[in-house]
Amino acid sequence: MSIRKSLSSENILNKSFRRWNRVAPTFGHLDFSAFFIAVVSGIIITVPYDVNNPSGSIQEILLTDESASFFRSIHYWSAQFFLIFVLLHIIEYFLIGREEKITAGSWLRITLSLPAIIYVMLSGYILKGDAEGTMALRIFAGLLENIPFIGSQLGTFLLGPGSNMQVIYIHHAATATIFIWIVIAEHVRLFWPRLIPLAYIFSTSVLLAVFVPAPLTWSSYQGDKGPWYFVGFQEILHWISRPGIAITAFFIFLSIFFIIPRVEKKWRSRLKIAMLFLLISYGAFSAAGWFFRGENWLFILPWSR
Amino acid sequence: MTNLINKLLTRKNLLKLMMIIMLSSVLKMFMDLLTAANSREDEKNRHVKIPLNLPDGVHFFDQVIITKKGKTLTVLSSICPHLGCRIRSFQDDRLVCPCHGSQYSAEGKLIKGPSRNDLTILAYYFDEKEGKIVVDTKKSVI
Ligand code: FES
Repeated sequence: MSIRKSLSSENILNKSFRRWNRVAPTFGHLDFSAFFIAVVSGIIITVPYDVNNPSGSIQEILLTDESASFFRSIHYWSAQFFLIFVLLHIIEYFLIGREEKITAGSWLRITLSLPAIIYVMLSGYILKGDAEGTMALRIFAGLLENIPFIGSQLGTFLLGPGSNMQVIYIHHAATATIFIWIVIAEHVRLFWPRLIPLAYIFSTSVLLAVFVPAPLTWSSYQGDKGPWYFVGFQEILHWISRPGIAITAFFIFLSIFFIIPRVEKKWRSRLKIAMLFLLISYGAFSAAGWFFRGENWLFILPWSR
Repeated sequence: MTNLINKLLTRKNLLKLMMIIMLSSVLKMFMDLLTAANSREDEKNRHVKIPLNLPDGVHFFDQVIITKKGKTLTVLSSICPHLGCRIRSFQDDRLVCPCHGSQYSAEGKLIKGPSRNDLTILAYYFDEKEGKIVVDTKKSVI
C-alpha cells in the first residue's frame, strides 16, 4: 500500500473505527440497545399513562409515583441516546463505506425507517399532551397537509382525528416501533441487543434518570421551539413561507440517502459530502434557533437575555 | 405471453398478492374509521359560544380570537395560516404566533411572515336568548 493511500483520511478513519470497535461496541449496537431499553421502559409506563388525559397523568406520575417517574426518565434518556447513536451510526457507516454491502431491499427499509424514527421521537414528544406537545402536533399536522395528493390522508393515518391522541399512541407504542425493530433486527441480524452495549446504555440512562429526571416540560428556556432535534427545522420553517419547500427538501434528502449505495464511487463520495454539508447546515440552524431566539421568535443575543 | 403468465403465477407471488389485498382492505377500514371520527370531532367542536358582555380589547377563546373596539367586533380563527398553530398572545398591538413568529394586527391582517395570509375571519351570530355570540369555526367570511 502506498504511503499516500495509507495516509488518506478515509483509511485513517477506517482504522480508528476498527480499533474503537475492538474495545467498545459499534454505534449500531449502542443504538439497538438504546432502542431496546426505550421499548421496555415504554411498555412499563403505558400502565400509569392515560392517553385520554396525557399531561394530567404525567403530572400524577411525577407527583405521586416515583418508580413510574424513574422509568419515564429512562424512557426519555434512552430515546435520546437512540437518536444520537442512529446519527453516529449512519456517519460511521458512510465513512467506512459499508453501505454498498447492503441489498437494495434492505437499504430501502433502512431509508424508510428514518422517517419512522423521526415519527416515534416526535410522537413521544406530542404524547406529553402539554402545550409544547400540542404545538408540535399542530406543526406536524400542518407539514403533512402540505404533502401533495396524499397529505391529508397521511395526516389522518399518522396523527388521527383532531386532538385525540389514541392513534398517535398506537403508532408510537406499536406500529412504528415494531417496524423499526424489524428493520434493526434485519440489519444487525440479531433479535435482541448484545449484553455489553446494553449494560453501557442502561447504566448511563439509569444515572441520568436519577440525576436529571425528565420533567413534564423543558419549555422555560426553549420557548415554543420543540425538542432539540427539531429546533433546526423550526428555524428553517421560520425563514420559509412555503412549508412545502421544507417537505420537498426532506424527501430529496431521503432520496439521496437511498441512492447513495447504488451510484458510482465518484458520485457516492460527492453525495456523502453533500449530506455532510446538509448535516452541518442543520446543526448551524439548530444552534441559531437554540441560542439566538427569544420569546416570540425575536433575535436575542444569549448574553443580553 | 403464456410463459410470462406462468412465471408471474408462482405460489410466492400469489401469496404476496393476497397479503397486499388483505393489508389494503385493513388499511381502508382503518382510514374509514379515522375519517368518520375526524368529522365527528369537527362537528362536535364546530360552534363556540362566547359571552356577549366582553370589554374592549383582544380576547382568546381556544379556537377563536375576538377583537372588540366599541361597537365593532372582529371574530378571528386562532389558527395560524402558516402551519396551523394556535395564536394565544397579543403584544405591542400584534397577535403573535408562538410557532414561527408570524405577526398579525388585532383585525387579523398579516404584518410579518413566515405566514403569507391574514387570519381567517369567522362567521357568527348573536343568540339573544342565551346572551352569547355563537361562532361557526368552520365558516369563514370573505
Ligand atoms: S404556524 Fe404560525 S408562524 Fe408557523
